[in-house]
Amino acid sequence: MTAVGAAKGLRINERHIKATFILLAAVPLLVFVLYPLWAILKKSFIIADGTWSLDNYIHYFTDPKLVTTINNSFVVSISTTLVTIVLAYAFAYAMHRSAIPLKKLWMLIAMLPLFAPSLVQALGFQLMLGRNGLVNRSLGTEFDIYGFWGIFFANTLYALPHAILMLSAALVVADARLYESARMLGGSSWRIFWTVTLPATRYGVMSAVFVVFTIVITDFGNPMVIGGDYSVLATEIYNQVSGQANFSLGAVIGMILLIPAAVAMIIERQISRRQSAAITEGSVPLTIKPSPRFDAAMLGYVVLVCLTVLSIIGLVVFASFVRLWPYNMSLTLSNYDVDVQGGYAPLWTSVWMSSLAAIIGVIMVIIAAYVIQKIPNPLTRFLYFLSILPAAVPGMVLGLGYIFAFNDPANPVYLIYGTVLMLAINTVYHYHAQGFLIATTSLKQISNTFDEASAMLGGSFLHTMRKITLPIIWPALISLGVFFFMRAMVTLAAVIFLVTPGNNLAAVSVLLLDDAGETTQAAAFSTLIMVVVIGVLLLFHGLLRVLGIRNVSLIS
Amino acid sequence: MFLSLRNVTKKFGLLTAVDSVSLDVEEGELICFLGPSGCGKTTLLRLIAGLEEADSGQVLLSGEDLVGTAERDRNFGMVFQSYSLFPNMSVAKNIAYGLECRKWKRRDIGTRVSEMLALVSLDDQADKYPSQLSGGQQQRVALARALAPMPYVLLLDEPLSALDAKVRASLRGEIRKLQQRLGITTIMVTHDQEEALTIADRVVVMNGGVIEQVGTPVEIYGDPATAFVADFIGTMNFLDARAGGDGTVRLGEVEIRCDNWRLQPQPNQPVRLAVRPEDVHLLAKPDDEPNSITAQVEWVEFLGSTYRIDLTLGGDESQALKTELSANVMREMKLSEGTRVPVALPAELLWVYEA
Repeated sequence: MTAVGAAKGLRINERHIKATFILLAAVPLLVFVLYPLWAILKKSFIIADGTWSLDNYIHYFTDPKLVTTINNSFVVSISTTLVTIVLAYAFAYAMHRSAIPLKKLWMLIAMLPLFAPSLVQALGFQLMLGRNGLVNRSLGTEFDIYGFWGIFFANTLYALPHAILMLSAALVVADARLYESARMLGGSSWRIFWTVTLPATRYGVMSAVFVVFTIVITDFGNPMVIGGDYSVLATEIYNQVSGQANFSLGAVIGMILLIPAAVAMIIERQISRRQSAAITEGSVPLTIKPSPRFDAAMLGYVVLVCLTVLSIIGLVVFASFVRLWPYNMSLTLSNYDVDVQGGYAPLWTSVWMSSLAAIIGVIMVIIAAYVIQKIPNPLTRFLYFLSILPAAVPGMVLGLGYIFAFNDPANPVYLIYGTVLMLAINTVYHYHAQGFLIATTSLKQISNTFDEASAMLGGSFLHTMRKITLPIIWPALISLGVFFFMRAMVTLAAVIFLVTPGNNLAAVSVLLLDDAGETTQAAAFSTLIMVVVIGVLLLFHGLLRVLGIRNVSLIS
Repeated sequence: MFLSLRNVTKKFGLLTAVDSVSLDVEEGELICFLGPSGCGKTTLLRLIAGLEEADSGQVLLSGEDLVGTAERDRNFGMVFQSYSLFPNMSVAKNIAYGLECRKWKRRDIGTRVSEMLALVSLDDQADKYPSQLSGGQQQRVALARALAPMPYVLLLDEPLSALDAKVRASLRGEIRKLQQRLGITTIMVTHDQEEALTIADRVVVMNGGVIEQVGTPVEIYGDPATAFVADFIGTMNFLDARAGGDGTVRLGEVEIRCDNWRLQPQPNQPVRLAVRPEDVHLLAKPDDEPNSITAQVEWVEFLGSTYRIDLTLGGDESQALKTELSANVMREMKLSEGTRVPVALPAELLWVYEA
């Protein structure tokens, strides 16, 4: 049995590898998630003379104008959330519980707002209903969209695809036996909807409510473009920091914005934990039977939603070809000849930054998910918490936290401060929670017995990872990479504090162009962002098809 | 001794899954761990495999302690309940995996893989992927994969439970023949007593984390060491009785002599009397045969060639005796519900356990 004896020496090596992986997961999370949050928290309590104090908060809460922003944020976010959920539920219901044709096409159109920065929806509504919008110009009205209604419309459109995706997941599964027994008991369709369908999807609905609320209250791009005088927390942070260089007050507002977002995300996590057991073994999938009148109504609704989405996004694309909106509507390509704000450079910076974010993001979340799931260690719970914590952190707060944490020559991370790499890392940790959950789901599909089988056959930890784990999950890794790329291309909130004139990003460029009144050039830049995102999406979709992989969704 | 367990204990939180188990396994024998779910049999197998670490105790292979040796260094082969073939590899690649981990030469790997494929009669399936195989085929590949690196011990964790009955029975036979041909020491976990009794050299019956009995299938069935084993293996009738004198028990007023005592009771101590259904003899007429008692027919069920008869002693549901009667005997005896019938209980086939 000397072979067994000799092999004992190898185990130390194995332990080292596992310890290394735990460190690889833990250190970046501590540095790039926890530390910036600590930095902004600290900043919010430190006053001019460097001591801890509540003064910043007192100052904030005694300024009636600033208190109004809290009120505004809640009013517009709650109303947007409620309307979005109702619209999205009906849309998802049509997709999964009616027999309408061309479902894939409708779904794709509804997803379009995902492919653009959150200010493009506002840009579209501005072009449609703004002072110089199509409606006012053609009807001679003096309609004013700026303010509450602008944010409301733009963010409804922006949050709609997110809500539709979540509610689709809730509506796509159904146990036909429940519906059969409900019908046998004589329930009308309407009654069955209220007593079977809605209760069965309640967790999905509640999850979607909290996720949409978080998206909307933390959104920065749309209120910036179309908010007018209606100030909300996210834009107020920017105004305090960028406009008045009042970093402490920015930190205070950041902390205030963190609370509702964090509470919403915590509730959402609690809810989604209960969601799993909805479908049991032996349940029968629901088959959809055509019902002409109902299907016609559903189709009408879906077409209406899709037309709205298409007209807003389409208007941005159209405006990008217009010579001088709205005075000279002749078509031209000159808007694509961007000559201000660094020209095309920000677009290439964005593509480069997004590619970096995709690579770093995939590696970091897969390591985190792997360590948390497959290497039992005392830090597991804490690492899980850090991994999903970014979901509760508004982009503005994370970005500001990065300034406080890393814009300091004493910090080693300062070496990359102001570089594209810093932007990529910031984006990765901004979207870490979603990426981490995707990675966790795909790792869970690999039964633990594969690891055990490999170990019993003599495979080492690294051998198992290289030969079994990675080959099985690589399609999921591609979809994860595409996710990070897409988000990095359209992200605005976190990176707005970190861009420098030397490495400006496309989404920031759109904001600056619009701010400078170059609406058509902003539209052109927005169009280019969408083209890149959709192009990459199609490229990888085609790649996966060619390789025969069909069960991987690139939109998540 | 080839493989020995010495006081192996494993706790999960407050639950003691395996409680100070000791066991010796001889080289080349097939041992079955049998017991109800949650009895600790799978945990015990995983402790031997090294997939779990024991809290205390030793696992010895040819006298060398394996505690501290990782599963991957033990050179034990394992077949899992869920097959767990690597879905990204062909059948041949799956079988070669353990050999590659051991850095075999490419040519040797090829030879060994063909050998293993022939062994499980899957020569023509080498390039298929697991998803293209039936459940039975997948499990044969899993077996070939586990055996390819010539493991010291083969561990089978409920290998047949995911298969349908017919495949299960034929694969069971295949595993046994293969095991005997290779002479490989094998431990199989199962909750199916038929499987254990037909395949094993020795059966280890477990309950609540401890071993109730170790023995050949015939011993386990014919001479159960504990009331649990008696009840778990096959069907057993239990009657409440009290200890009499001179190796007898009293069932009400009747004295019954018993040959197999699993306790040494005080006189009049409550005990349980156990008898297999096939050892309950219904008598045609009340006679003076020793060790007989009158019972009452409660239920008769026609099963084709036989009848199932449920009896009680004086209508007491807790004093029930099940037995079977062939159809021709039944015709002569003309039993129906309510009939009182004398029953002989052969002393050498009665067991007495603690109440």
